[in-house]
Amino acid sequence: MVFRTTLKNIRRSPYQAFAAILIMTLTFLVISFFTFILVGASSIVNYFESKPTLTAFFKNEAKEEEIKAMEESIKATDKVASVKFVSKKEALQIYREQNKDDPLLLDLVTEDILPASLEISAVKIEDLSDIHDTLKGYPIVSEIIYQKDIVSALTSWTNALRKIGIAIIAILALVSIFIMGVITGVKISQKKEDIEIMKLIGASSWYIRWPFILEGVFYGVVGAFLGWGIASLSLWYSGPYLEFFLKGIPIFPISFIFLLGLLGMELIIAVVLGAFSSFAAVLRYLK
Amino acid sequence: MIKLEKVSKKFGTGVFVLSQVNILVNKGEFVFLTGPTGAGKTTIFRLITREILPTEGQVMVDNWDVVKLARHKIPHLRKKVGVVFQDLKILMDRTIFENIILPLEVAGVKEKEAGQKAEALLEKVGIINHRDKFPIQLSGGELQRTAIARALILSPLIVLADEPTGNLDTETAFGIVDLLENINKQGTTVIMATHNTEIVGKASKRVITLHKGRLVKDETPNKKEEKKG
Repeated sequence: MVFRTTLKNIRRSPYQAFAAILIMTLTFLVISFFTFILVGASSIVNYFESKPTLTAFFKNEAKEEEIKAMEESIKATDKVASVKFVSKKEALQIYREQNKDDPLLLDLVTEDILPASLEISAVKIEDLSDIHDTLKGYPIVSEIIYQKDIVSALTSWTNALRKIGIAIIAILALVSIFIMGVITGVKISQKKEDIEIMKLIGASSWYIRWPFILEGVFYGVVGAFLGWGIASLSLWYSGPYLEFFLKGIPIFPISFIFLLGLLGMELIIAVVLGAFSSFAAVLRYLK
Repeated sequence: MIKLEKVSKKFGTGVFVLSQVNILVNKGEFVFLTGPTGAGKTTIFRLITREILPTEGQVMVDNWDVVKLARHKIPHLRKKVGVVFQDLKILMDRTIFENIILPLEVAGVKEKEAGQKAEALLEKVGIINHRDKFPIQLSGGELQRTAIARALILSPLIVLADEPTGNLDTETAFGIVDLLENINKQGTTVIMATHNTEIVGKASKRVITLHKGRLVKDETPNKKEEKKG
């Protein structure tokens, strides 16, 4: 009976229902997108963190014995897990493999251009900067690249994004609570006479309150489904492009269980948000 | 069944709409409550259903102290007392059937059972043909019957009818009184507020007369006993 009253209330005021669903959808769309971005960014960070490597490139004049000596002394420290020498020839091979579809790029590059290098894996990511400093001391090394910069940049970006995301979501949640509260308030004042009659013929306060609260929950749940659905679909469509862009970082395919988990979490938030906002309105207007 | 003891009601304006009223209505009685407009008839009904609280005095309904009644018990009280409101209070966006079945919905009665009960009652009050019409399509007398049917649907112990013949022609008005008398014969206590002296005169029932918030007469047809309130 309560459910039927709820459905009738929704059907009889389609514009209010539309407004309520729209704001809820927007809220959950933003929650979904920020979740995707944050989860994606943290797996990129994890990817880099799980590969604490640095590459030292040698000057062209570096002699093989000098390189060998350096390799040995570096291997002797306990901070290094493994060292791999990549000669000019091997570098060219790698280059050819990476660009085999582009003959123009293949023609441009010869063995002489590419430097020989040493790929060093550290045991811990914190040691990278120590190793970096040691390598810098060798005159035969021309350039060192390592992921510490990438990781710290990414981490600070992720932190900033998390803060912005939480702020935007909090504002949207607040806005949806207010809008839902106003809509419920309007509905209650439209039905003031009905409510008075219901009370006079023996309806309990909760009998009158429930349909309004369920209506709020309904808008929340529909909004969560729509927001999640739109966000998931757009992720699905942009998947191949993102996969190409994030070459080698294992994010895709997105697991369906992750998406379901997100939906579950959003549904819980939706129920709480919908119930809370309509309940607040009911307490305010139905004494 | 209903007992008002030294009941006074003062509204915010400072005017006493009831002062020191004593009324005792026994189970199964039919009582007319008369008096001019503003005498306090509707106020008594509102006190009985706990729509308002008295300024002083005690109101008892079926051994419940209405004044001290806990808030959550008010719905139970209102299920014991069926009211035919002066302004009917019929929901205009519901059909006659939906209006009548409403108290059963509120009471949580199963749909099928409620439907059967409502149909039987529509038959009893003589508006079964209007089952699926909307209030706007019905005449005054038919609406009055709708309001009575809604007041009766929960088989209340008491029916309070506030000017149920207010805007009706004499014939229709007597039809309504007949209906209330029939309900009374089946054991329901009925109090009908009216200022229609013709009806009161013909019915030969107990008559309580109010004037400016005071009880001025309480007479039963066989032994005319007068009381000053």
